[in-house]
Amino acid sequence: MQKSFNVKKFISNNAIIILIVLLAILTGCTTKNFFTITNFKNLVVNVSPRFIIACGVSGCLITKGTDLSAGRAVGLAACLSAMLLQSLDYSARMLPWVPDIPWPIALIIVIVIMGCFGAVNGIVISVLKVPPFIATLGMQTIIYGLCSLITNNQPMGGYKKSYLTVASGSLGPIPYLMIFAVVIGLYFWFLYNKTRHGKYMYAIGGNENAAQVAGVNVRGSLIRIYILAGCMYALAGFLVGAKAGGASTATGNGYELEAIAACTIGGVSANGGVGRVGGILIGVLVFEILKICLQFLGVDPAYTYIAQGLVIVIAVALDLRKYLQKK
Amino acid sequence: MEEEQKEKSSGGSLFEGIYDQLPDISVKAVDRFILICAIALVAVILVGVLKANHIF
Repeated sequence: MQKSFNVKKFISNNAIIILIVLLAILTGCTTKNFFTITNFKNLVVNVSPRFIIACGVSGCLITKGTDLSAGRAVGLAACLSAMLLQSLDYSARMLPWVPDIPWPIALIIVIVIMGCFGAVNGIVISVLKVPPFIATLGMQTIIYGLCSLITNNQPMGGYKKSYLTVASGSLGPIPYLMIFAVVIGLYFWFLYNKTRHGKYMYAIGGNENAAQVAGVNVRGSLIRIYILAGCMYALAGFLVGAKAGGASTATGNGYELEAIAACTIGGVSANGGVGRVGGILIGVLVFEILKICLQFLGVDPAYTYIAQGLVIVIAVALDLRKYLQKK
Repeated sequence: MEEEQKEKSSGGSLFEGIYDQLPDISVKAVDRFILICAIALVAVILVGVLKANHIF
């Protein structure tokens, strides 16, 4: 028996995506240089670090948690990367005693440090039973304070060429940033769909008590999820710093809200237990395409913020609609 | 035992059970809300574009 295609259901499930696609078509038809390789590369370069952050946050959301420290963690990671990868002949080096380190080593150091912050989040949430909203809100402020301390509130620059090439370089036509995002996307798809960790994560998000009774080590899983999130913020911060050519305490400010909103648009339910990597990518793309379209149309950035806010509200309302229909 | 099980669960999230805490809403009401927000989104974009082109 063939299932008939329900147009109304399709539109209601994909309303935001349809709106953004229409906006992109309208922008392409009314402006020059929208549908160009350069603009596509620009989109990819902007989406890549945000997708990595959203992947990190997604695990927290799927388990009915949240991570409000994501943005500040990205900022701290960018600042730490800056401190380790400033050019040796730069006069305003933050750490003059640091030797010339290859960027992969610096990346590993930053990932380990931010992984520790993630572990603290995970332990506070799973062992001390502090609500994730409060735990990560506190961590957000702590990280910001630490970042201000270590940077003396000074913006940083003067990076090594090899570090800048990570963001500006490409393998043929493919930017390195896109390669990072693709690798992370594939890793998270594998982790969520083909590993025990992924199954435990969805089980905890669906019903934590049932998962516990079924023998899932909820504490261990939650700690791992937040450590992984911390590692993703480290990678994203490293890439954001390379892309911007500089870092400061303001780097990453607000990124967590964008990431959470992108996850919600992409189908990660606020009620937990649901979420796909493909959906997260779509959510991030929706946000970036909206920004780029409004930029091309010459719209004041203030209107972009209002539009983004409305997109978030629509995404949550659609999620609520799905929940009510199931009920 | 239920209380023990509740205690065993992690701290919970801002979002946990948030939909259950909402008053009884029908799907139609949510549909209307989504439609209003979508119209508002289109209006904001339209106003932004018109202002950018100095139409008003």
